[in-house]
Amino acid sequence: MRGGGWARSRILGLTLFAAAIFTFGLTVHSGYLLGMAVLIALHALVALGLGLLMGWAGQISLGHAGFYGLGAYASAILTTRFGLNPWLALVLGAVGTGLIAFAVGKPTLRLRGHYLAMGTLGLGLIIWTVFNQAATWTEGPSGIRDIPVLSLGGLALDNDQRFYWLIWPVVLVAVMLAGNLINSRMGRALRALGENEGAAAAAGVDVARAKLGVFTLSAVLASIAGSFYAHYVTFVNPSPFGFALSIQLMTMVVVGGEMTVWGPLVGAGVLTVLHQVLAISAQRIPAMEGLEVVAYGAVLVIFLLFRPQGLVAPLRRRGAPPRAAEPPAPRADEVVGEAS
Amino acid sequence: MSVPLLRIERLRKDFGGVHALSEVSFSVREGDIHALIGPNGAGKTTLFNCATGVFSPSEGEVWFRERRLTGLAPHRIAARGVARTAQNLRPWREMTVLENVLVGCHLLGHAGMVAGALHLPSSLREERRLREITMRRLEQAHLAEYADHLVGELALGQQRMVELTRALASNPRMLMLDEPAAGLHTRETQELGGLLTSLRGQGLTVLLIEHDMSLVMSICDRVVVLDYGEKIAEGAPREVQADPRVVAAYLGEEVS
Repeated sequence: MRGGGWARSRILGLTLFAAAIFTFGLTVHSGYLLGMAVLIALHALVALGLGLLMGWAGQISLGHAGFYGLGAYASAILTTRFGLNPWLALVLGAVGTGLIAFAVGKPTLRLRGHYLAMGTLGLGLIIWTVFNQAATWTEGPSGIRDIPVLSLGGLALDNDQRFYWLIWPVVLVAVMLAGNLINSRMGRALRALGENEGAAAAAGVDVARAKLGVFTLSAVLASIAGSFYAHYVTFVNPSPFGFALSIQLMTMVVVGGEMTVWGPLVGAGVLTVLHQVLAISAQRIPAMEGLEVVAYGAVLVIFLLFRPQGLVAPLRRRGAPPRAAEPPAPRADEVVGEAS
Repeated sequence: MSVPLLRIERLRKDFGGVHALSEVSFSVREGDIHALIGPNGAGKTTLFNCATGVFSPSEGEVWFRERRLTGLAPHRIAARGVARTAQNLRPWREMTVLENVLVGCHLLGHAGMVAGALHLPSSLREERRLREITMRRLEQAHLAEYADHLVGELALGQQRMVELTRALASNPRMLMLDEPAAGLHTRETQELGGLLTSLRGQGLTVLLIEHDMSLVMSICDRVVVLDYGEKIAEGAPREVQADPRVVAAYLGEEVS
């Protein structure tokens, strides 16, 4: 770890992750499973950014589905209406979403407490309403069709398998960069303020600015994931980007664990699969209809109560010996003890 | 007479109808160890919080090196060269000793989030430099062997050393310590006294809140006594100790 390089455990983790991506991609040919894997990857990208915000900056966003949707709609509109190159549309969407997040975060993050949660809750609802109502641009509830697919070096990424080989390496790179960030100067500042804001400020950390930075970064990541979504499905409508997805994304972070970069990834996997299982059961058993929301709520509560650190907890904390006892209170009788 | 390093001017802080501080003024000379004492609830920590931007005072000003601190955010005051510890600002227990002191070095670096995430050469160079400084600090504090331990795993005396090392990491001009000896054994308190004296020898100015009178009497150059938010005495330790108002404040008696 000395010299700012990579710890051996990080290299091992990333290598195993890359190996898993390769193994799955080479052995699995079912379009259904590959499609599922792509969906997990898209959610993982958003959850990764949200995890940085929740785990390290101690803030909650209830509007990340909105940022995800902004990326998707930006790509959809810019490519179908203006014929922009999809990659350029992705970048423009990310920049625009980043600016919106910055504008919302700037006033709310100066205040202590969960003002960001309220601000992003409102923002998410506004974005969703705009998707539905601004029909001139968004086609309203019926959505935008015929979004072009991405192509890479002349190869159109027009099936699940090809898209898999794009999106999972993107997730790998994102995990790598998030790990770099956590072990950098600003990453440490974020962890410090997550544990004790006052102490971080006393060490010279500009608390409001650090929070704003990570919030904007997480919104940009969500937007990029949204753009990928639009070009993968080639169709967007408002319904996937509502409040329910914001809750689902937050649950992913809580279930997976917010204190490592792997937690949100695992959470995205577990919750996306759970979502599918519930959707299929609802189709077969009519009584299961609408049970999904209850299931998420239950999962969220169970984890917060019984395993608040999530499925993936940092390794070293598990083996930590019991804490040193708290200091005894200063003895009042000593105060003038030497005064004679 | 030389210009004081820190000047507290007619500082007043009200919380609703409670006057936590009223009209407190005093100066801290450069190179002194200056103590702030008084019974519980006298306003000592409130004064620290007003001086470091955590609270904004109801009235009055705080000057440091002839520049006004009042109105600045805590991180800006830290950047002016004022480091502090506080009872509720103990080290980050969930971070390692090395990481704690690295955060203490925050002001010595510039790399932002994007540079850090992308491992830009400039940020890697800076990271190496900060780690060298940190390791040197840890060796001086005899904490090098604990560099990779979580702070929460260490004994209290060592945690206090981490706290001090962290506060000193950014090369402050003045160190403000809130009860640094609280909970320490006699031997550890003596070591702390020795360390503060040697820091004074290196030109550091210290302002400390402390209940341990033997520590205050043995290392401090000047003492200010607060009671019910007012300054009731100021002077050399022996003078203050003999002041009947001070004795009364501590024993809770009327001075006749």
